[in-house]
Amino acid sequence: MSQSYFSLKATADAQYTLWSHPDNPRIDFAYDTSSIAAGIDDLVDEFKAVIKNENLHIDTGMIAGYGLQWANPLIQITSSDGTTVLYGNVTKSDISDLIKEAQGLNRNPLDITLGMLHGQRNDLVTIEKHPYLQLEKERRLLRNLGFIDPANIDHYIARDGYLALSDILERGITDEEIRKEITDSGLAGRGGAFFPTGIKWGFLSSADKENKYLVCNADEGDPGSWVNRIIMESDPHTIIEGMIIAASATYSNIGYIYIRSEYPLAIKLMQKAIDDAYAKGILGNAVLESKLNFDLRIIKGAGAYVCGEETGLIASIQDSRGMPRIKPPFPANSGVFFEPTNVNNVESFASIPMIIRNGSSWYKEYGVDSISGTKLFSISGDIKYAGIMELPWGTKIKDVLKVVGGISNSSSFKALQAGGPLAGYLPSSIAENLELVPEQFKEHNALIGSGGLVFVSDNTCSIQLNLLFSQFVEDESCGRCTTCHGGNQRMTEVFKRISKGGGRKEDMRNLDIIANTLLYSNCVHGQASPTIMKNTVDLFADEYNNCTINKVCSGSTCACPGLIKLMIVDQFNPKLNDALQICPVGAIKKINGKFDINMQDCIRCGACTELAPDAIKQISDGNVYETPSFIPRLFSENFKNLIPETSLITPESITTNTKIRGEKSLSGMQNL
Amino acid sequence: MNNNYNKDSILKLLDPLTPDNADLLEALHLIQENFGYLSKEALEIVGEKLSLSVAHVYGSATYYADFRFEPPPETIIGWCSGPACLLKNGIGIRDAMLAVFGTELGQQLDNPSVEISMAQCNGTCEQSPQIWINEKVVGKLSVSKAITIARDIKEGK
Ligand SMILES: Cc1cc2nc3c(=O)[nH]c(=O)nc-3n(C[C@H](O)[C@H](O)[C@H](O)COP(=O)(O)O)c2cc1C
Ligand code: SF4
Ligand code: SF4
Ligand code: FES
Repeated sequence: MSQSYFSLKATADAQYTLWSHPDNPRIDFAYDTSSIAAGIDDLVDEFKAVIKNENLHIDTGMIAGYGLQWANPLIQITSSDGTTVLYGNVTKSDISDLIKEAQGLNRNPLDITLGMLHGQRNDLVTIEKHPYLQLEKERRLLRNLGFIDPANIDHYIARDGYLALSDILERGITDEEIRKEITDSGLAGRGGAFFPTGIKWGFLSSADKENKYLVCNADEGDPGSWVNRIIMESDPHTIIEGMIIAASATYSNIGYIYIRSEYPLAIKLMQKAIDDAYAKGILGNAVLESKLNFDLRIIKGAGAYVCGEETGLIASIQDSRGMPRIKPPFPANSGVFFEPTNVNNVESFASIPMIIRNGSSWYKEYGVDSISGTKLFSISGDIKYAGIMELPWGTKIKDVLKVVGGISNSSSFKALQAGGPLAGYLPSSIAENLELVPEQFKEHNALIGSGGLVFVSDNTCSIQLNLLFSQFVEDESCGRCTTCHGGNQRMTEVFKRISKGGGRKEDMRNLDIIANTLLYSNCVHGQASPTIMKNTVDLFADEYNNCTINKVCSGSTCACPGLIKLMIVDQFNPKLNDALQICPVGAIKKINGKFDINMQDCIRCGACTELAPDAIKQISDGNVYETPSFIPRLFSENFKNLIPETSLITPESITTNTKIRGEKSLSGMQNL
Repeated sequence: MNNNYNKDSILKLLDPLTPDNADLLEALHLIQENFGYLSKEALEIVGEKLSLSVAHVYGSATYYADFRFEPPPETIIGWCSGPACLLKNGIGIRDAMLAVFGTELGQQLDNPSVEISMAQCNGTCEQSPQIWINEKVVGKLSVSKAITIARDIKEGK
């Protein structure tokens, strides 16, 4: 332990002991983006007002909650004996009970009690026993959740933060040794490409330049993935420590953390962490009084998905449009300001301190042959309990579905959409047998991506899901490659037409040509943008053909507008009046005492079926129904005249024409 | 928000920034945070300050979805375009709200002063389907609730 670290640690330990064994009981509010969305701010005000008005000897504080997002707002109460209890779904009506708890006047579990976080109490189980956490073996990346105030550097240090850094600096561990430990650990880049981190650092280490840059990629643009946000909001110093260790293993002196603007709280907490690290001599010149110099700064993104691609990220940092460019040169040769650069994901950097502290074999205790360690997953969709989990690689997907409460609303599991818009879409029949292992996804031409798992129920039509994602990749294309911006535009048009009831038998071939053309794009955005579409055509062929050829859509909450009709099945249901009132376009009318829905005006928003589910039914009977020009998802084109007369072509008749997959020829383009 | 959009106040904001120092995005954010949007003059001043051509500054700024080039409306309704919201009829919510105002995504209306813009999932999917009204989450929506909210805004409630 270096002298400077020793004194930091001594101060931090003293502080932390006081905090974890407070004189007065303390109520800590879990404060993160999710709890803010759940209304924690109001709750904090209310609690503080009660404590003040009644002159109670109870303190309040902030904490990164234990991560049970579905149970937000979460609060923790720490008593002077050092025990900490976690409560969830807290509302204002729970305040008096919780105050009693804090005062030790109530010792029976409340229905909002989730479990014991620290210490023991006879009547309470430990939080690890909670059904939601049954797949988590050990919290490593999340080790500080619930145990520190993320805005307090002393809490991090007291829990052995910056110990790994101090150790390598003190013992003079060489860059090569650090890289070897990381390589031996099997840590593979968490941004989604899984390139071995230690090896990547080797490229930068060998570059012979005065200024070398480290970039932490916190752009996390994949909708449905928010694992990086969790780390930034709960344990920002692990990322900083990981970056400084990386700096010493690569001889880098300048670092950037590029955070998307959608994460204002993460930006605030990271900035606080950086400022505190500077103040303690952990960043800047002579890190912990060693010879290492490292400066670190945040760049706030501005809403462009492809800035997450590393060359786009670099362009965005250096004052330009964040457009990905052709590689090589790779960032290790020419990155930020054309100097050698290494880009890593937040989770990759956050994994470094624990590997250095505990060794590579410890890290490999979890995982599978092909990839080691634990990984954060963000889980959402048609499930009961959306949230994050830290799971060992190799966890079974069907087990994950079980602990998140299964598919909600008594519908069934249709598909898994993992890893964001470039990654894939697998039917339940495959997903149920998969483990969280990148190779297993690859076998089905899908990717596992950066940690998002979206469970899809059979209420959703795959064509609509495709339409959403193809609009996303079209919108987010940087426009450099004609294949990417034009191809994705084309793909979107085809899905819009199918949605409107204008599907054609040749669409399958057209989509295939588009997919092959997209392969010639410069970056992975264009290359991978047809992944979900290809999965759909291959693995959901029946459904695809039903929407395209048979004009029957199986979706309910999310269905092809041109393939559905609303029917009034009970004229005497009083709720029809509500439906009439709510309809935003006046498509429901009451004429001569009878309700009627005009499908030419109806935008298929679903408000009426929501209010009068027993009186209005949605049907899809193989007919194409006219849609008004005002449906944003189908905007601009009017395909009405293009719908073939004989739309009932059987699926068999089309498969013979679809043999283009795999051919590298672009000649089919002219057919589009 | 500061309405005093003049050169001195912009230069004061940009004071710590320097050319060739990865400061462009920061400059644009600072101006938008303070004035609500990026005016033509502001972009010229940024160019001057960071030794970049105005074309470069403008070209970069327009690349990013965050930046506005005219004063923002009073109410911005951000519509979450993410997957968890989609599965719970996020599209119905979007289309119904657009229909209430008779507008398109990203189009600013004057009366009432409102815009429905596309927003990205930020990982509060347990609230899905959701929208943001001036950055505050309104979650666990239904289409009928969204229509009621939109009508209230339209009627100035
Ligand atoms: C379109 C696109 C978007 C990407 N977005 C991200 C992102 O948001 N975060 C991230 O870490 N990597 C993202 N990547 C991957 C990065 O290019 C890069 O591989 C990664 O940051 C490297 O870090 P790692 O080795 O630690 O995984 C994206 C790639 C592409 C093609
Ligand atoms: S593939 Fe798409 S996102 Fe990537 S460089 Fe080309 S146009 Fe830009
Ligand atoms: S689906 Fe929407 S637009 Fe169509 S009738 Fe019902 S409420 Fe009106
Ligand atoms: S999809 Fe809407 S918040 Fe995540």
